[in-house]
Amino acid sequence: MILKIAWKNIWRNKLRSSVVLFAVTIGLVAGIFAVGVMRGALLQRVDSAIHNEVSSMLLHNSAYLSNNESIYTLSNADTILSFLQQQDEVVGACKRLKVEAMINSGRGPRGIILNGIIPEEERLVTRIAGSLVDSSSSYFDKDMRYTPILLSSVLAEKLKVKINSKVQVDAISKSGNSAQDVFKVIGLYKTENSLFDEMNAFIPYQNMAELLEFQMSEAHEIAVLTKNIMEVDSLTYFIQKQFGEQALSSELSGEHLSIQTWKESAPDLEITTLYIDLMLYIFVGIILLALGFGIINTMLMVILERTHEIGMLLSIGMTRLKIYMMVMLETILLSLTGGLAGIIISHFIISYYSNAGINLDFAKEGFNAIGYSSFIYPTIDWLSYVQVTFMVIITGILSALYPAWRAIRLNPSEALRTE
Amino acid sequence: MKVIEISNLNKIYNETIIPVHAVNNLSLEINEGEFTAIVGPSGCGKTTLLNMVGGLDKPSSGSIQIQGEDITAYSASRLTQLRLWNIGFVFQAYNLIPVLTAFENVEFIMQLQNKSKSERYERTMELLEAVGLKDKKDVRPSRLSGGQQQRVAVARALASKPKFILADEPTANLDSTSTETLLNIMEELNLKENITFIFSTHDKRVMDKARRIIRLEDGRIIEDQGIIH
Repeated sequence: MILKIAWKNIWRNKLRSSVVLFAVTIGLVAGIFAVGVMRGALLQRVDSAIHNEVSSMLLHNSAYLSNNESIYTLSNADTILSFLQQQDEVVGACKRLKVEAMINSGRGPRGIILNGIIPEEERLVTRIAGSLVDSSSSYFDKDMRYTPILLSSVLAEKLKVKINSKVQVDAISKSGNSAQDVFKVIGLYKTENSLFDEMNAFIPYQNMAELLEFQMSEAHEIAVLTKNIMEVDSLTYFIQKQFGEQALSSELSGEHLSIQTWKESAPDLEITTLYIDLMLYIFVGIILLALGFGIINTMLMVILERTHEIGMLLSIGMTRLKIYMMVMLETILLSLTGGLAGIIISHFIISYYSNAGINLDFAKEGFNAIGYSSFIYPTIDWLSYVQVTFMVIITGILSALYPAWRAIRLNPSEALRTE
Repeated sequence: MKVIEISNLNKIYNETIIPVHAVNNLSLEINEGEFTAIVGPSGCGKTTLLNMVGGLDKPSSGSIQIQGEDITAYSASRLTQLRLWNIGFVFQAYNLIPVLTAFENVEFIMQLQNKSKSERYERTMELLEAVGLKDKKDVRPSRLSGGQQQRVAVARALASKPKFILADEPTANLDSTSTETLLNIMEELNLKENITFIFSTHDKRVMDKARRIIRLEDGRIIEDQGIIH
């Protein structure tokens, strides 16, 4: 009965309750949608970084990471690669040669990272192939007069080159000699990270090994993509166990296999994933805090208006606890009704935009400069809706504490004298 | 049998500033089955007396015994239980719960007593029939006339099977027909079921029906007619 009275009491002053419900609904729609957009953008950023930049994990010669010199390679790259490709949780693994180089198109030189890749392996790990915006041939055409090179559209624009243009690349070979070659631009790729795009160019692994005097079994980097990016620790352990003790190079000592999970290669991404959950609490929490004060004000008005009635309820034998519960329930129901309406509306809006996407191309350069896509697909998981529902209930409870306390502090005879 | 026994009761408001003696050394006994009106001019202490008897207000001194137990030392929660199980209230302004129907208003007090659903239904229907509002059981107070609302209030007061009913100016807002109907119903319940009614009133029609009239002035009893021993 108390629940029934509490529910019916909400509708005694339809206008006032509607204003509160409207405020809660709009507040939550705004909050959830904003969180959905940010969550979508952040997840897209993480997804993009994993699939284009750092993969689930990267394997290097530890000396390569500390000295950044091309002589430090993984001499047993093929053995490691073969092991990785047999693991169930591995979607794909690829080896890369990776050196700093200068690229010149006649418009002045630019520093780049030249990546020697095997397209068949690379396709399983990265989305570079799928990011080709313009291409004169397939990924790397083998029957070409010039060695093919894949540039980003950003770099191509800076170099003022197009498809089929020639560029010269200079680099230091493993033996320390200067090596150079002319490459033909066969494709332009584009990821959501313009910094990555500006720095990375791709050529066939074999051509790079020949040009820079590396053995065909060597690699500077092995990139691994796993089925679940959050569960990479066990694989790390197995790789370490298998190859951690093996010598990486016969000539050099003090080197070991370095395994960097995506959290280590890109700590900002880990913070981002943690922030995704925290963001919901911060955003919706601030909105609910503001709404909470509105609800307190409304409920205090309600108590003031119903002083006489509360006096009557106390007179006929309703306990203070039950009156407290009644005010509590009324506040919670009021908040929850608005909250659920907000959640349902948010769900429909986010569902629509998660398919249609939100085009923020007007700020594309800004977004891309920090590695984010300007086309955002908002997303919220069901757990977030549950969390928001609990937050609304907690707001209702907290907002009811003071008004309910005021209600039970009333003296029945004095309350009955109130008009 | 004594239902209420009041001894040397005092109620002083603003004791430290300008003391107002609302009830002044009042002693009184109410027996089972009485149909008593407490009358007097406004401000004579009628409502204050009823509030103290009903456990809504604490006396400054003196004692109020209900069925032999002094309630003046009761805690707030014990007074709430006393009101729930022993006292029925009828107010001048009806004071029904506006969001509930006539049936639910009467039933409500029995829900507070945790009575079973079937018992609640039976008693509510019986009382609504007794006050002639069985056909209005699903109507909310706002759709009932003042007289009808007060009859629902009487049914609600009786629902808990109290030892006595305290009615504070129950007819003050009613027209003569409604007053007549209400008084007849209460008189019939008093005579048939031996329910004790105590009214505060200055309505002549109530006084005419009452079998005992206690006249107050300045918080004291100046006249007590028709006392039953």
